[in-house]
Parts: sequence; C-alpha cells; structure tokens
Amino acid sequence: MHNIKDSAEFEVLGKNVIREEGHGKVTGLGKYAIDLEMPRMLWAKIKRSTRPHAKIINIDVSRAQSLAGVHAVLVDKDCPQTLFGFGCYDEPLLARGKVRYIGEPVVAVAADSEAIAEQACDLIEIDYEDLPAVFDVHEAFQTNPPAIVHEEQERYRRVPIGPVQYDPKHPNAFGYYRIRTGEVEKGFKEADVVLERTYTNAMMGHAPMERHNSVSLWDADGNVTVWSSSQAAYPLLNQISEALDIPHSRIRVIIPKYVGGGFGGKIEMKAEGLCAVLSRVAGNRPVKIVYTREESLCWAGVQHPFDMKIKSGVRKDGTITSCEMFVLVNGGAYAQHGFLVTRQASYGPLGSYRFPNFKLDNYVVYTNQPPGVAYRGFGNTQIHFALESHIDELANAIGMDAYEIRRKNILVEGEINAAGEIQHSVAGSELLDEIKKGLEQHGTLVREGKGPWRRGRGIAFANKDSVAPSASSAIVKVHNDETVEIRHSAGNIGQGSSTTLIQIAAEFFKVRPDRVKTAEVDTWITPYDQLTGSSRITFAAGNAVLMACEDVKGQILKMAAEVMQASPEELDLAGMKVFVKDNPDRFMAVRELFRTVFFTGSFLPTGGELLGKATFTVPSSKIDPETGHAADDGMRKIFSFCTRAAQAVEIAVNTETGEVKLEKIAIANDVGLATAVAAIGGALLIIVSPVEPSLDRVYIGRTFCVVVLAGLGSVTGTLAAGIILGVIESLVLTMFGASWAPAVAYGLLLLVLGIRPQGLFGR
Amino acid sequence: MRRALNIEINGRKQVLEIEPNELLLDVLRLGVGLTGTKEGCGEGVCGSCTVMVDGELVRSCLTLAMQVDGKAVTTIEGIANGSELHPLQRRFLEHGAVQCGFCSPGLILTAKALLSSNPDPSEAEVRDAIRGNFCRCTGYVKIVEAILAAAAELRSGANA
Repeated sequence: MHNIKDSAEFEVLGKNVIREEGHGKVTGLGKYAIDLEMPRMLWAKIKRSTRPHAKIINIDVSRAQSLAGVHAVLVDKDCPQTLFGFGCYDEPLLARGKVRYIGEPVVAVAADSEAIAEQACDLIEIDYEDLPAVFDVHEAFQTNPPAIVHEEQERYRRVPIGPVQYDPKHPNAFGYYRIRTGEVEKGFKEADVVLERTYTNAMMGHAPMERHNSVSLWDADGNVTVWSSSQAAYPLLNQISEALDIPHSRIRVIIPKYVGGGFGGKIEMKAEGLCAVLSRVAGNRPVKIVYTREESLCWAGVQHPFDMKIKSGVRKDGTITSCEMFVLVNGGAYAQHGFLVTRQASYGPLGSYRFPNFKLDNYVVYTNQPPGVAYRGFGNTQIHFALESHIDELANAIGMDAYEIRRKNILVEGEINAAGEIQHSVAGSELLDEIKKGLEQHGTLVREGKGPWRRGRGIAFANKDSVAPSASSAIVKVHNDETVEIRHSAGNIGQGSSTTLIQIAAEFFKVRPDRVKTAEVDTWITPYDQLTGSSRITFAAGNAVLMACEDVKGQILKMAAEVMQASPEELDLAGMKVFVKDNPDRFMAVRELFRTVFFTGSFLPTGGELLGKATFTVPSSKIDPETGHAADDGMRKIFSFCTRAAQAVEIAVNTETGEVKLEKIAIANDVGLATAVAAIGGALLIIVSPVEPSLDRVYIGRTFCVVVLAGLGSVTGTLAAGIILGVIESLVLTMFGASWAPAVAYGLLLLVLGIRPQGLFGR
Repeated sequence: MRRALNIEINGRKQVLEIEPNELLLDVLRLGVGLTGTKEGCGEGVCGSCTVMVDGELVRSCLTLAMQVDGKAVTTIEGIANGSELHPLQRRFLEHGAVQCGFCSPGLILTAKALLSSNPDPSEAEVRDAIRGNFCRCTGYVKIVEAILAAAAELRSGANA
C-alpha cells in the first residue's frame, strides 16, 4: 500500500536524527507550559482536605475573599454540578458534601500572585465531621466494609465494557473484569505441583520533572482555552467538556512542544477545568496553576497498588496446566484511570504464556487513599511483576531452570491465547534465547563474592499491549518551499514522538528530516488523537501520518500531471520532484506547482493548499462479558498490537547491609523497526541507570564497532557486521581466552578501517 | 519595600528593583523572563534550577536574589556563542542525552562547572559531579557520554 513498506533500505528511518525540539531544550529557550505568562494572568491555589474521610460541615471563606489581591474563591456550589471521570464518572471539581482522601480539592482561589493565593488558602476555615475511613483494599472489598466511599455509586454513569461493574455485595468495588478459559480445577488435578502465592506492590508517584501545571482562560465569548503540560489533548478536552458541561466546540486545548515528562500521570484532567471556572468568576482573566512537588507526587494520580493472588499447577516437565488469579486493585477515592488500568492489567498475563485453563477475577476498589492513574503500562508492570515472580517459584518447585520453564510455556506466532486473541508478531522464544546468550557470554555464575557479597542471576519476560479500538488522525501540508508540515495531536512528552513522525514523513517523501516540521498540538488546528499513552503513538499516529502523506502525494501527482501532460499513474514523487516513472529525466519540482497568480503571492493556481488528511483506526473484536474472550469474528483482536521484551541480570547482594548492585544485564526488546535509534537506545538504557559506571561501555563500544564496521547507514550491513563480530569474538574467546575478547572488536575495526575506510558495506 | 539589586546576568549588567524576600529563581524566571532555569522541586533536591554565580554552582530556588548582589550570574541562556551551541549543548543533542529536557539546563551548567575545574574528568568523576541532578527519562548513561564527548572536544579545541 505505502511505498515506505516496500523499500528494504531506509534513508531516514532507523537513523539518528536530532530531535525537533532539541535546540529549545538545550538552550533553555523552549517554552514549557510552566514557563507561560500572560497579561492580566492570575495564580491559583487549591485548599485541600486534611481528612481522609469526613463530612464537610461548614466552609468559611470570608477572610480569604476580603484579602487584597484575591479575585475569586470557589467552593463546590460555585462550580457546575457535574461528575467527570475516565470510564466511570464519579468526581466533582471540588469536594461535594464530603471529602474522600487527604489532599482532595475543597476550595480554589485565584489571586494576583501565588503567594497571595497561598495566604488566602491559609485563611479558609473548614469544619469537618470525621467518618470512619478505609485504606486497606481487603477491608474495603468486604460486603460490610468499615466505610463506603461512594454511597451513590450504583447511579454513576459508566462506559459499558466488561461484565456488570457494580455489585451490591462489594459496595466499594467500582470495576470488575473476569476471564474464563477451560476448567481450572481440572487443570490443577493434572498438575504435579500446585502453588499459591500472593504478590503486592506499593503505591508510587510518577514524578515527572515538570510538575503538573496549566493556564486556563474562559473568555468573554464563552470559549475555554487551556494550555497544559499534558500528554493527551483530546481526552483532556473531553474531560473539560464533561466537568464544565460545555460542548467540545467551545474548548481549545493547547499542549506546548515542550512537556517535561508524563509517564502516564498527565493523561487525566488535573486543575484545568477548575481554573477555567476561576477564570470566568475572576472576570475572564487567564488563571495559572502550578502544583507543588508535593501535590504533583501525592495528589495528581499515583500508581495503583495491586494485591495479586496467583494459584498455578505445573507438571514436572514444566508445562503449566492451570492458573487462577484473584486481583484486588486499590483504586483510591475516585475511579480515574482505575477503571481502565484494571481491564488492561487483566489481559496482561495472557500475552506471555500459554494457559490451557485460566480463571481471573479482577476488582478495582474505592478506598480513602489518593486516586490511582495510568503509570508506565496501565497496570501491566504490577501484573508482570507478580506473574514473573510466580513463574520463578514454579520453576523452583519442580527444580527447573528459569529459562527452560518460560521457553516451555511461551506463546508462539499465530497461537490463540487464553482470552481467545490471536497472537501476531510474537518474538517470545527469540527474546528469551537472546538474553540467555547475552548473560552466558559472561561465563558461569560465581555465587561467592568478596566478604559478604553473593551473586545471583535472574530473568524476566514481559509483554505490553496497546489499546484497541484506537484512532489517530493526521494532516500533512506541503508548503510552497516544499517544507512538509505535520499536524497531529500526539503529545511529545519527551519520548521524541514528533521526531519519529517527522522521520516517517521524511522517509515517505525522500527528503531530509529538517525539511519536515510538526505543528504545536492545538485541538482547534491539529486533528484527533486518542492519547499519548498505551505505547501507541509510533504505530497509530505514524500510520496516520503515512496515510496523510499518501493523500497529499495523490494531489501533487494529479496537479503535476496537468502541467507535465501525463497521467497521474505514469508519475511518481521523490525528493519533492515529480517524475515520469519510465523516464525520470522528465520531471518538475513540487515548488513549480505554486505560482504568483496575483498580488497575494505564491500559491496554487487553483487557490487552496496541498493538504493531505487521513485517519488510522484499529478495530477490536466484541468481548464476551462472561468469559472475557474475543469473539471469533475472523479478527480475534482485543488490542492493537502487543510488544514483548526479556531481560536477564546478574546482581550482587551484600548479605550484611542489603545493598544490591546490578552487575550485568542483557536486554532483548522487540521494537519492530527502530525509527529513532538514539531515542530507543536511550529509553532502554534507563533500566541500567544504577549499574556500575563501566558496564555500559561493553555494549556501547561493541555497538559502535558494529555500526562503523558495517559502514554508516547500511542496515543489512550492520546485521552482517554484528554476526561477523560475534563469530570472531566467540572464536577468540574459545582459542585465546576471555581476556582477549574486548580487543577483538577494536582490533577488527582498526583492521577494516585501514583497508576499507567506508566500512565493509558502506558506499 | 523594594530594593535595588545590582546583578550581571549572562554578561549584561542590570539594576533590578526587587522585594528582599524574592528568590533568585523567581527573579530570573518572572522578573527577567529567563525561563530556561527550571524549578523541579523548590527545595534544592532535584538540581533543575542550578545556575552559576561567579563560576560557582548554586540552587537558585534556595538562594535569595539579594545574596547575589554585585555578582555575575550565568544561566542556560548565556552559554551558547550567539547561534552557535556550546559543545555541551551540542553533545547533549547528538548523544540523545535530552528527552523531556526539563533537567537539561541544570545538568549542562553542572557539567560546565565540572569541565572548567577539571577538563579531563573520568567517567566516575562525571557521575559524581551530576549526582545532585535528577533526570527521570534517560537513565543518565547518555548524559555521561555527552559530557565526556564535550570534554574531549573542549580539550582538543584548547590544544589547537
């Protein structure tokens, strides 16, 4: 369909490209949302609850209101009486009637300065009547819990996914998913060993370096504009619409090109809606809020603590016969992402291994803790931690190697998993083999170290799904200087997604990446994108950009055909030149399509613009609410795609102090084609940050040698050079001993550069 | 009660009227509009707000502006030579040491201070120097590489 897929060699993809917004970042000139200032701008502060669960008896804001420099003070009754959420709609802008966690917003203030707003908050007096509180997820899950966090939850609006979500037997549970495959009891009987274990993980904060912040303006025409350090423009727009009860068409969300990290913590609306109300009350002045680090860590969404009970049966040969999971997710005081995180986590285990019999019940439960949100994988990190720990325990129980048991049960290409989903592009076995080799090249493990130090090795496997149904749109404009402009709404939160999209468009048009740029995300200009999250941008937005490029190319060929007196089918486009396929010497530059027709300057003779537009969607199969299975509809699709990864480590533990050192690590990730090598390399290296300083050189040095050996820019050559180096290293290792191994790469490099400076496969 | 602050910012001498309790960070960001200096934590832990005062590194979120009266402040906006990036800035870009970029100004200034006192640092010395600068994206490996590459470039430039 797209010529990009047909070409074996890429000119821009897979190369290191300086990131689009890089200059602004290293010079300090790029403006993050936190750097924005506007004329007449006010500063907001939120007075937060000091009680975990309490009735609000009285709020006295009189002293705050009369403080000089204060322009607006809001309590719940001053706000639209709406409820917003992300699948389960349960949250007011400010606490309504009672508070449900320490840190819940109760009063909001806008003032001339942050200091005045803070002082005003100190002058507000709130009388509470404490209610019993519940923090523990097991207590909260009881039929008669110590406290019911949302008495009215039966009436809450929800998106209809999964089985019936509200069960009066568990009045605090707000989301429930189940999966049923085969008969677990029968599977346990077929096993030689049955093991039951419980795994828990702690609550965590995302801690993006740029704290949550935004500027909101409710203007005199009734439009709400929000500039936010967000990772999801359209979900934010939708939440503002629900919270303020105004239509999408009245809302404009702008995300600056510079966003200081997100990690899942900047998908939901924070105070954008609340500050819009402050803006209106304060006379249509822009209102800025910057969360303190404490607010950002504790009250802007946390990673959900999971309690995961797993019972599995395994035969002596390593075959897993049955698996039963019971998961309780501590959702905190409001549903937020908990509703969806719980669903994604329910399917997480099923992308790794084969379970002939499988049963899962997964509840997300209200407590009086801070609400949880997405955190680097929508619940997958929690569930994989449990599953991988459990697989290790199963291996121990039958005296099998951690690698062998995984290899035995790993899903393979084309297999249908325990949720009825067909598995595509599965690299499970290969990844496991890679990390095994990776660690084995360091020789056998020596457990005893110096003094109190002991060593051990371990491996883990993971898969990560990406949400479906999924949709991204893109607009691609070709300017009269042949610059390509991409308009998309996939927020670049530091992962470099706009540069990835630039590379895709540059590869398509066969132009240098600096001839392509992206527009700032602005929902009045840039088209729909589901969200920067769920690992979906390169795939979903990337395909949308590619399709929009195809669209605009069609327009260019059609216009050029008239000028060149040929049919569009006879023509092709590369490097912004339209040429006759059979006779490339007959060509015209795209810029020649633009003429100065009249005094308005250089435009298309027909007027208008070269504007391509496309939407890329991934459908999903209908899910049976009883079994959680994908329907057998020819697709058998629950997610857009699934990526897989494996890691092996050798660690040293100080048995006296408990200090742990990461000594060696092998990482194998199935990244498909790496569109941006440096970006992905950097992202993978985060895992090794606490490694001793010299370790990474082993990999970097070799990689450098392989790339230079191959000749820069040759993809197949790199593969060949990698194999050559590997074979020679192994030979030298065997024949001359391990101490010679590091010399091989550099020796070989010197030799080749001496004979053939452009590299083995370089042009 | 506003007071006069004599300050040199990125080579330019200025007299600012400020409140005595204003932080250097706020004077730079809100007063002068140099928003390249970032506030990550506001309590001197994360290193994002690092600037140089007479060549020494300070946390501008813990420094009263009045404390730098009569001194020269260098921020991230002041280290490039016109439109030509400082080798540290360029190497950060080339090595993929910048992701979200929020910590980059503090890290680049910290590295600059290191290289002016120790032009040929070992990898361990680089890691030690940037201990007080948090980065949540990169895992530091690329940052260390970039600093070492810039150090080598600056040394060869000095010898030439």
